[in-house]
Amino acid sequence: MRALPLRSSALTALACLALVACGAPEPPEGDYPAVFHDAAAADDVEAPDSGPASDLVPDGTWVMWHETSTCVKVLSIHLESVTQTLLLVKLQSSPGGVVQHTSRDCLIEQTPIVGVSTTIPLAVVESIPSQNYVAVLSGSQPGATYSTQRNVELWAMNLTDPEFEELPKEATDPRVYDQDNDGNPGATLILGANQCSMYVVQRAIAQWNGKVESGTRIAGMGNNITTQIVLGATGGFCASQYDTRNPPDTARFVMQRVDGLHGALNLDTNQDGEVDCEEVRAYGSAPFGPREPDNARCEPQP
Amino acid sequence: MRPLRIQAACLGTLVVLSSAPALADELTAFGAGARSVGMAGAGAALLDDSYAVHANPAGMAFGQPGVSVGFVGAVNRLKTRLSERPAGYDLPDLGASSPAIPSRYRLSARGSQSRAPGFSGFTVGATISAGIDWLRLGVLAFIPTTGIGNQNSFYSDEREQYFSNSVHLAIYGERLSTQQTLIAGSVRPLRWLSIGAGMRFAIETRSNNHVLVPSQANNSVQYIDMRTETGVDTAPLVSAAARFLDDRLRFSLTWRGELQSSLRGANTVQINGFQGTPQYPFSQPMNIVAEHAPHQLNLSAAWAQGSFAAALDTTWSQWSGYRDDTDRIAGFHDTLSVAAGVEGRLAKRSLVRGGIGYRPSPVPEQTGRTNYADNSMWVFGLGLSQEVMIAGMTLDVSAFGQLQAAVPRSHTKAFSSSSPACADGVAALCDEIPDDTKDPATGKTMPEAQGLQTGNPGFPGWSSGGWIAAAGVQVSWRYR
Repeated sequence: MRALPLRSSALTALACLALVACGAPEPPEGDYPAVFHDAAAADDVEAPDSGPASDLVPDGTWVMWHETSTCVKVLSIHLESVTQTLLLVKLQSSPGGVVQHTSRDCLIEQTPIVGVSTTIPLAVVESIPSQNYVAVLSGSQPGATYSTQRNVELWAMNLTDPEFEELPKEATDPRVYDQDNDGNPGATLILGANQCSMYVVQRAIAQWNGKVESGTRIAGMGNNITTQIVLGATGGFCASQYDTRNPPDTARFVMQRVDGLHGALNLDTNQDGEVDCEEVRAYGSAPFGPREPDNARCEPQP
Repeated sequence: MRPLRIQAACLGTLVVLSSAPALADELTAFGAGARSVGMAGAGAALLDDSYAVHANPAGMAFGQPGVSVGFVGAVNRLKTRLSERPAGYDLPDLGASSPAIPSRYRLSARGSQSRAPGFSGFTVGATISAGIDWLRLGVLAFIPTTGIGNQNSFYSDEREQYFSNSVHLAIYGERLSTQQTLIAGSVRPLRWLSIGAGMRFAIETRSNNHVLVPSQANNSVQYIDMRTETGVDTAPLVSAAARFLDDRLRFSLTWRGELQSSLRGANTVQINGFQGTPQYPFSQPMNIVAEHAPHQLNLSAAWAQGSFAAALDTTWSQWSGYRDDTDRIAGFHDTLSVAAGVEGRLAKRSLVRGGIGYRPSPVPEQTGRTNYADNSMWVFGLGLSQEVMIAGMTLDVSAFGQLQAAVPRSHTKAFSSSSPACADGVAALCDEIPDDTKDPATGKTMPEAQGLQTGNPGFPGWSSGGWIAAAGVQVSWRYR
């Protein structure tokens, strides 16, 4: 037996050298250039502050779409006009399932009657006072019920008792004001291809009942009564006061969360941190499946 | 006499072929026992104790029976570093019509689990002769302190974004801390020749579960009937060893068969509301390969004279048959690794040993969809042994260490202006939101879907490197 001197120290030194040299290198930059069509870019490095959830969390920004029916009697014929309305709604939860709503009208469109459409200009739509009302949610999971209080929307007038007070008939009534600031009383609507203008006040009373369909969607039916008074017109049939009514059980609505939270669609396309009416109008009513007018709905019931 | 030995050889082979438990990745990666680890994985032809069960079962028949216990631990500083993602490739939020969960909802931040874990565990081994000089039976086990029966899996492609959201080491990760058990027997029909055979075992789980989701409104409530069986998968070990020139020149040739630790089965899921539909109940098959040890062929040559020994080993590994965690052929290359080691007397009862080796990586450049991380490794070993007399017994107390230094490596995803949609069989980096994705409300294609959208953790590239160091102690006692 003889001892063999080994150069273990050399091996150790080699190992130490290797340790210094073998750290993970700087990762490569990659061959893919940055592109800027993606609103979610650069979000990937951080874990989300809230994950996807099937439960509905009301607080946030929603779009309310509702569809109402108006029957108009023209020359003994009953015709239906369908009104599509898009509203931007901020929801805030309160204890007991109460949800505070603050809504703004963004777009109102009506189907034509005998080929003549009524245009509600954006100046009118955007000058409708915002509405504050509450709803009650029975739960946060699909199937939970959603019921709003009766909500009154007034155009171009101030009423002491918004729901029951008699509406003004004259443009000189002190309760009437120039809502769209066009120099004419009330709100100015345009018929046809600018054939004539009508100056109106309007009261719309609505109450909605629905169910939670998902964490980002509530849908259901409602009841509405809309009364419109023509205060004046530029001429023609704009000056006519037509006999109108709202048939029962024809109004429906959808509440769609649109702020990108909790798995929702994000309509904030300009990435300014808020969804505005312009973005809601760009989204439009089409995703909610509006229906065509059906005059049979307006036939008088026997 | 010779017919008796041949019968015993056959009997020993039958015994080991019909016996039970495990796997050898910790042993394969670092070597089996103080001597092999200290010589950088070399020296299979020198082994004749219980650690020969893994490296060279035939060698047992040349050694005295004995028992051995040891402890080994490793610090793992191998890691991956992900390239910064360029803007514009995240999965957009398309609401309910999103084909994939948007990037902003990942549960883990990208790259947060890029470092591989260390491990520690005990080794226990023994050989017996049953009173027959030319026969040895042996058993060897590695028992990790982190638990027996670990089975971990990762996706190697974009699917991992939904889980760890990182790139994982394919070979030197969690699988190093898998429990392993090997048994073997050997006979020496000729004075200079020995043959051995054995078996190693891996956990094999079969799980067929029945699940009921009573309400879609609350997916957190589910009822499960579980049917899980845990068994073993087996792989053979066969070796031959020969010694010439008064046992100074030694050779061994060892074949270790392919071994998998798998989880297979299916969940049969009933979801209230889907009854009556063709897909009811849903079947969710599971095919997970938590471990895959390839076929290996080790050829070892050694010179031993007195207390001096030198060894040179080369190992061929059939990585081309490697199946990844999702039971897919990964496309690795076969490799040929080498290791050399020496040992000699430091003092009257002390030995010192060392070695160096090189293990080329079987993993090709990861320019496409997959992110298998692995590096070629330089291996440095060092060890000391001291004979200690206790109560008339001679114990061999060894300390050993091994450093494996990774050759730094980087991968870049190959650029393409038109990435294919992700689907089975697609090997290129793929688009998770196909360009023809349509808005279900309008029927029109969506601008957010145009171009490449990928959450692949390895996009647009990554690097890997670092080191892993293992060290341990071992006490061996030879008896007759």
